[in-house]
Amino acid sequence: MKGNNLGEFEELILLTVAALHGGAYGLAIQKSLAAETERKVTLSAVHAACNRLQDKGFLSADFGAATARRGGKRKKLYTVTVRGQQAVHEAQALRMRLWRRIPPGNLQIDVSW
Amino acid sequence: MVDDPHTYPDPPRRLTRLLSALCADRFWEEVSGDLHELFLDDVEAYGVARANRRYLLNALRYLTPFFISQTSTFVALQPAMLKHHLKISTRHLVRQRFYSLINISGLAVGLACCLMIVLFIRHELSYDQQFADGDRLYRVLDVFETPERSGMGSVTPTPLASALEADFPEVEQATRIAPQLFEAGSSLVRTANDAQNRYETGFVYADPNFFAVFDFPFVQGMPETALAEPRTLVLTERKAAELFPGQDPVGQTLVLNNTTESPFTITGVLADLPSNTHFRFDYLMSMVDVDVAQIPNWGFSNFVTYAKLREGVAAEALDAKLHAFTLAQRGEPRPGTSATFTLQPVPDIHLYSSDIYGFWSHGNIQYVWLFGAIAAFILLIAAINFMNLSTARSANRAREIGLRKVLGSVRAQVIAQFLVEAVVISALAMGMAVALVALALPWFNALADQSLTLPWGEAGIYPILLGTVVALGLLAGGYPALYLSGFQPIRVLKGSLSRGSKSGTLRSTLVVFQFATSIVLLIGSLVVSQQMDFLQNKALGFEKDQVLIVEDSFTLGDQAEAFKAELERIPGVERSTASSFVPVDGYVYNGAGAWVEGKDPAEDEIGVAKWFVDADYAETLGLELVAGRFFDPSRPGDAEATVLNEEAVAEFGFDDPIGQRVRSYTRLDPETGELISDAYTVIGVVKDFHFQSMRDDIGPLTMVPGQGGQATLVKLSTNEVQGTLAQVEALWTQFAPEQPFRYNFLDERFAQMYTFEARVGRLFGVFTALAMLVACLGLFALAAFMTEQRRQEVGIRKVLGASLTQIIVLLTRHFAMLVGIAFVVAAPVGYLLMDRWLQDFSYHAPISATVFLVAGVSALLIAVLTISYQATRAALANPAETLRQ
Repeated sequence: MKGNNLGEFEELILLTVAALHGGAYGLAIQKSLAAETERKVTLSAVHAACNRLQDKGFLSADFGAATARRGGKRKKLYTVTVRGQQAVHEAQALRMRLWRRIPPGNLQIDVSW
Repeated sequence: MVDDPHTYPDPPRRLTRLLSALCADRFWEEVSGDLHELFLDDVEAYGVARANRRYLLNALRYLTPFFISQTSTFVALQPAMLKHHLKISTRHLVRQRFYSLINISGLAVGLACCLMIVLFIRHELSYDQQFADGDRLYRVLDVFETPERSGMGSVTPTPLASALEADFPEVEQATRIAPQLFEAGSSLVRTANDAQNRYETGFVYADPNFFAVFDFPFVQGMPETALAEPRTLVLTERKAAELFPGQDPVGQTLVLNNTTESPFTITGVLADLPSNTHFRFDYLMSMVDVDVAQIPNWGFSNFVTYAKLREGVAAEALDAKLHAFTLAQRGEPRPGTSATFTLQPVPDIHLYSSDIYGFWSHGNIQYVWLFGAIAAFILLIAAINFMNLSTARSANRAREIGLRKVLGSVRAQVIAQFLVEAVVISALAMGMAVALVALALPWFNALADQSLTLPWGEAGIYPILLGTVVALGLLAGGYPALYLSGFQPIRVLKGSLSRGSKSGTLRSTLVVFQFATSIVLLIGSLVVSQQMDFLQNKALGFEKDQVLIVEDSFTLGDQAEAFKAELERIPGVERSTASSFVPVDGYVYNGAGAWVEGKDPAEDEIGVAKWFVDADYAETLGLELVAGRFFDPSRPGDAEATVLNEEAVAEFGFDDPIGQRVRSYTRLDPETGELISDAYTVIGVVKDFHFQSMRDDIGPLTMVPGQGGQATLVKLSTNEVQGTLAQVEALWTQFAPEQPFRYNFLDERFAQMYTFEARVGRLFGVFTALAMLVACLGLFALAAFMTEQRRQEVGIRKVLGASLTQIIVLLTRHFAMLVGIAFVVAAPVGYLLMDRWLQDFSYHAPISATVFLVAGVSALLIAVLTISYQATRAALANPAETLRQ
């Protein structure tokens, strides 16, 4: 099996899939990610990541209905699996642990001006 | 958002198709759907043009290993799969020995032909590449046009080289050679130690700066000074070893043609000339003391001029300047004529000189194309065998393919299996072909007069061979692989696939193509051989049979008359004449300008052949007089008489030629360098005879009395040729004990004029036979398979009372019909091609119906014989046995 650790991009994908709740297919994920992060996110990167996450068992997929707008192709709709949910939670927990270990004053951004 | 498919365009279709091939199937639905949707979003946002561009950019991002490496093609090429394919391939080859053998040997013969022809073409294309600055070396050609004829020649006037150097800053060096002047050409040679002369060819005069232009490597001596002194020469290594075995040749002397008082001193030894240079010489003699080479006369053309241009100079620009220069040197040409010089790159000389008059024979680019095409066709015929056998026998593999697919093979994997098989077969064929070439090369060399070798030493050959193996495998295996891999497992496993009948039309077409090609080649070789017969047997206007040429008779000097008198006393000798003008190539040819007396030579000069002959010439050669008489030594006035041929009469425009006077140039004034002309009275006219190759029209000829007797022609009147020859030799030895007796027969020399065509004809014949052989191999195997398929049908027919003949006809009919169609296709193609070839000859045989009859019937016969072996075997089989299965 491939490892359970998540890359940053993969984590963002998992979160976006969860956020889109049932409407998560490649193009929707790409658009939502691009809007949130204000980064350039390519469709092929999203597809590669989604399929890799599916191979790892973090995402599962179902095909929706075919539409003319998609050239007669069906949407591949992703949902986060239980393992996927565990993985994001674990990543989140790891982050929190690390935040807690930071002494006060470090990483403090001065927002006064 | 609109969801109507008619409102919006589709994304670029071709790009989509390409992407679908490169993207693994499991991603395709998702990827293409999303891309399509994104495209339509873009259309709404930015318009179609920009959406198309963005679609391309988005699509390109899928060309990553992640998407590609999971395609079935990629999987099929994994090492483990390749190993599996290889194993299955070998098993098939061994199990189907008969078909494998035919496939492999057919391909091997095709490849061997190809390899040999490629070696030949490679050699032809490699001419004159060895010189430093070879791209700056040019030969100067004389281009002339008159109302009577036009052409190009490599024979240029004396002062051209020095004028080029003086007047054109573009020219770095210009140099001349003279391959046919005084002692140049062939000579009698004697070293200080020799008692008797030897006959040697390959003497050429050259300017001292020759080696500054052409850097032929020296074994001994200094290229800069080798030809600087009068009466010096350099010779090739092999001649040095022959003439001075075990001695140092430099400093030794050579006596040429008995001129003992002024021998040549050897100043250097050249490495032997490679076979791929247009130069043909073994001795280069210094030209510094040759008078006519130094007197600047623009009317005296005997030299080949080469120029080395400065770096960065375009030859075309120089060409234009040369034209103006010619006008200045030669004056305005008379109306209807023109003359100029042009530059020909030295590496082009070998292949692009077929219509340039000059010295030495060259190759011809047409034959490079011709043989290249033959090679390609033979290989194609062999590849078609492979394709036909594979598809015909597809039924035998259908179950295997079905099973593979049921077990999860995708189409690409099945294709890979068949391609690997094809590549294995082509690799085996290549091995066999290389062995065949190694065996047949000496024989091919002898046939084609070449010295080709397999270039094992060159690293470049191995990737080429390997590439050919793969390319041929893909070419021959591609169609069967696509065809066979398309089988649907459900149908083949149910056994509902009709056995071997599918794609029968294509197979038939390919058989037609194979035989059409073979028949075209057959027509070609028949026409060539017919033309050769025609040349040998055409009425020439002179008697070429039973004429002996005693060479070098000029060495007899004062004794020539006595020799001739003695000669005619020999019983078998009818008559003899002393003349170097022999109506075949390879003897002296003398061109001169001539005009009707009283007219202006600048206006009415025509180029004629001017031959010096004696009174017995016409009778010895059997020339036919149509008017007047030939020379008579007893009439003193005949010293200024001339005999013309009919063509000359026509060109001079005489109605009644006898008694007319013509003038022509005879010699060069050594003081002024002017040409001096003499007048001649016409006393007779001979019927036109072929005094040159039949590639050309018969030109105008004037014969004048003179002793140009380098050779003596002897007409024999006996069948006892050997005995008479011995007597002539005895007489020669008596007159000239120090000279070797050299002789030729006129008819043999005549045949030699056409050795090139004869050689092409023989090669053509051989390759035709091989093409036929390969095509028949394929037909044999195809027939074997087809009859095999129909064994039970034949059994039933026999039981129902069909006769042996009926069955053989039944099985042969289809293929015979295909050969018939092939003939119908091939005949016009062959006719057109060969008609073009024959246009090279001014005199040629018509293409007769016999050629087509012979070609058609023999192709049909060969094909029917090939099939009928199989057909007869099937027809003779016991129906009880075949039906029981």
